[in-house]
Amino acid sequence: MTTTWKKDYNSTAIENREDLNYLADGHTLKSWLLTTDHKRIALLYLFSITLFFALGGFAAVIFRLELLTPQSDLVDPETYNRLFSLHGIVMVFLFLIPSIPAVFGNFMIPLMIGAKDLAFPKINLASWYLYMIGGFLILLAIFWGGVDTGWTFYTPFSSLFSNSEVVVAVFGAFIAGFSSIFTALNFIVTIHKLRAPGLTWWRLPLFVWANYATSIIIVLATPVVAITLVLMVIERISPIGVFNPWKGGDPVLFQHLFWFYSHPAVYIMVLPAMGVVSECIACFSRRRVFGYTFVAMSSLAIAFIGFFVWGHHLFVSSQSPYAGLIFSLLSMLVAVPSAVKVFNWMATLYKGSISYAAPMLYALSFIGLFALGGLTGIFVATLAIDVHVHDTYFVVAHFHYIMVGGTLSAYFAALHYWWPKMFGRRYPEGWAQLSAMIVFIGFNLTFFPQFILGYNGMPRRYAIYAPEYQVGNVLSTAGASILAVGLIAPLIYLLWSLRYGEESGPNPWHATGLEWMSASPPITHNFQETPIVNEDAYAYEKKEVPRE
Amino acid sequence: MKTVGDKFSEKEEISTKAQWLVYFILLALLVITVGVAYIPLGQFNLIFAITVALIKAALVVWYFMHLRETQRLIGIFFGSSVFMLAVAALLTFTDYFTRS
Amino acid sequence: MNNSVRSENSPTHLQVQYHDALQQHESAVAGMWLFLATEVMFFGGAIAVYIVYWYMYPSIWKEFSAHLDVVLGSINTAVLLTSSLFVALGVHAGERGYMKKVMWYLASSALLGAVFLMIKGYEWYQEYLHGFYPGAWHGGGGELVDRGDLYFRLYFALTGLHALHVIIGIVLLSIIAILARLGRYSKDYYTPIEVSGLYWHFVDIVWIFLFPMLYLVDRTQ
Repeated sequence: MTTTWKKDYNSTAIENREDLNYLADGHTLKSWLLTTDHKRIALLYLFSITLFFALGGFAAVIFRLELLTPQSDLVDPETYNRLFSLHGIVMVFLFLIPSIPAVFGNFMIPLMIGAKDLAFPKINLASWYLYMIGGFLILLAIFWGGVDTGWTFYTPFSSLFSNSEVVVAVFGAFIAGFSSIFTALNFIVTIHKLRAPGLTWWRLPLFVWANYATSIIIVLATPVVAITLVLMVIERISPIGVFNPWKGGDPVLFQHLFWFYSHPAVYIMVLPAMGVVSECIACFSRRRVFGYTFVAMSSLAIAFIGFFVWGHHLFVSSQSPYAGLIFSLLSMLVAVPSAVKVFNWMATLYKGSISYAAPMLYALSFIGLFALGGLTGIFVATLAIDVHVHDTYFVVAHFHYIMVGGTLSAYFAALHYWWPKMFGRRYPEGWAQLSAMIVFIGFNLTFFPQFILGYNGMPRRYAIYAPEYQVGNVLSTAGASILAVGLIAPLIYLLWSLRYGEESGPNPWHATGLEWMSASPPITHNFQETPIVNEDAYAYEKKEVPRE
Repeated sequence: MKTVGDKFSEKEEISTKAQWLVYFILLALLVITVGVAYIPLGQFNLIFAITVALIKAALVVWYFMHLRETQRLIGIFFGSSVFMLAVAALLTFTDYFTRS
Repeated sequence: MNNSVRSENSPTHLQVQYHDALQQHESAVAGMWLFLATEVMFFGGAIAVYIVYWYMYPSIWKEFSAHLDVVLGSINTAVLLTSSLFVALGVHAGERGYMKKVMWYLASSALLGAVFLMIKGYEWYQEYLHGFYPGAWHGGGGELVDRGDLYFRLYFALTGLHALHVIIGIVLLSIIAILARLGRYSKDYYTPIEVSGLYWHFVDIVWIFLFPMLYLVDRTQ
């Protein structure tokens, strides 16, 4: 390695405070709640995101149980509406959007670029507090009965007719949006200004490129949903008539504005995941990523094109068919850069020296499940097909393949890949590999039947369904129970590893990348001396690996 | 070690005289825009008003906000938000223009 | 090469992740510009809603826009432009270390901002007296009335959101003016002055667009 540094990071003798790892550097509650250390903030996020994920998952458990039978016997339809709305709101705004950037972006980006922190550490802390306030408001809304509008809050139901806690929930989402924006601002300026000497843009790890593209989307799209939600709430508390048909307003305008954010939002969810996959595929095939430039540029291309496709959510609204035509065409286009990534990953794997640690299993899982989900995206992007499958379980399966099969898998890949770096401990590999496989099986059993159910006409968001759909639903719920086991297991063995796991050196995976040059766990300021970089990313050919 | 003052040796700054001049131009444009609004020019009224607003905004951004002293890429970001807004409006309008 | 050039002589405001004050200053300015980009999208979205309905109901828009007071609106525009000039001059002074001038310029701008709000409040009051306010119509007044309702509610929403941002700007400028007078800044560290200035200019720019869009829909007779 031609990166230089001056101290021996494996030395355990602590000469002065600057050599303390970030976990040991302060034990009071205040040192955590008022920290400006990006690594501690990442852990604050990890903790709260896990809680919210559990909440969203719990709602899913209940309604999946309800869906075992065609009748609404476990919960009544009104409650069912509130459950799937809770699931969507919590999973989208409090888990999928922040997860990888707020936990792994926060932790790893400064390390990966050789910086001592992000550009704006206090804004970083503020973003976590905003997340918590937004999350708290959403919890409050749930506590007071929740909302029954779905996470999409379509008007005029949400603004005029719904008797539920729309205002509080939407206000929570609004505040959480600011959390997102602050994180994105931080990342963009950090990546521009704080790269170590020699670390040119074309030497950046693809995870950094991915977060950069994601941050651009966040900055440009989130404010639009902010103003949309503001207008909708104003309409709810004082009849402003912006989206009220009786006052000349157009409910479809709400949909335009809402999806202008919410479609790029799905790229916010998936781009960082793709960045994680690039890191893992490279490391566990011991190869540089094939077509690095194309993969980097495809992140930007997805971000860019992703802004122009939102109308495909409005195919069956009263949007004009000509607009629908344009959006359908553009939606086909956005698949291209995604495919570029998939092909480049395959080429990276080809003739690589592949090993199957848990992060790799999750990353490989991502590629397959994302490809499948993405291909079904082409189905729904085709206007004529979407007329048939819109608001059915086909769409539900499509986006869960990408969100769960894709983003969640990558989240777990990242969690396992960087766990030794974050905590200085190795998790039990056997259990992790087993869990990854359980997740894969459970996931497919849960969601594949839903493609068939949807194609055969089962509508989404229905507590009561026609009896012919029961078999598919039973399979799906069975899968969900397996999936739940696979998702809970890491909680147990990862926590176990904090105490009893084997201690990890700085670079247990023998990976390239500046983050592996710091100690595990890193010292508070990451590096004693700013590293200097004079080679490209993923220089695996030059790396000697002492095989264990 | 660079201090903040070092940036001035790299680029010539905008003088206060220039800023006062821009101010009076802005006021003049305000008078013009209000005046022209009363002249019947059909569709052109709207185009004129928006054009003048864009010029005023550009003047503020360039001369009051010193955009040229900032990194080029940040100017691109700000510009991209304007671009993205324009595209969003345009695409939304493809719906409204083509409804029967 | 030892490139972490941080000596005991580093200014106290220099954060550890930056290697010199210029880098920190540029980063702060970049961050504010990015934040302003989000504000462009925020207000842009609101204005887009206004424009969509203008396109759908041009005659309603023309009729009700004519009820807005062009004279007061123009004066307000001039007030904000002047405040923007003062902020620019204040930042200029701050770059050279003339903190007393900074205080006067920023305080004057804040004051002009308050004047803007007072004129705006007066306009709103006038509109209220003429029956154009949220809640004046309760439906059933006929199509024309309902659409006028839509116009005015959008008008109040847009100017209200803008006024909120003006209030924030006034508070910000006042705080910075006071801190400048108290000696917190110097010609080597005036970043907060510049960054607040950028915010205020943006608030001005929003009004530069709002004014013709709201007041000058179609004043031709």
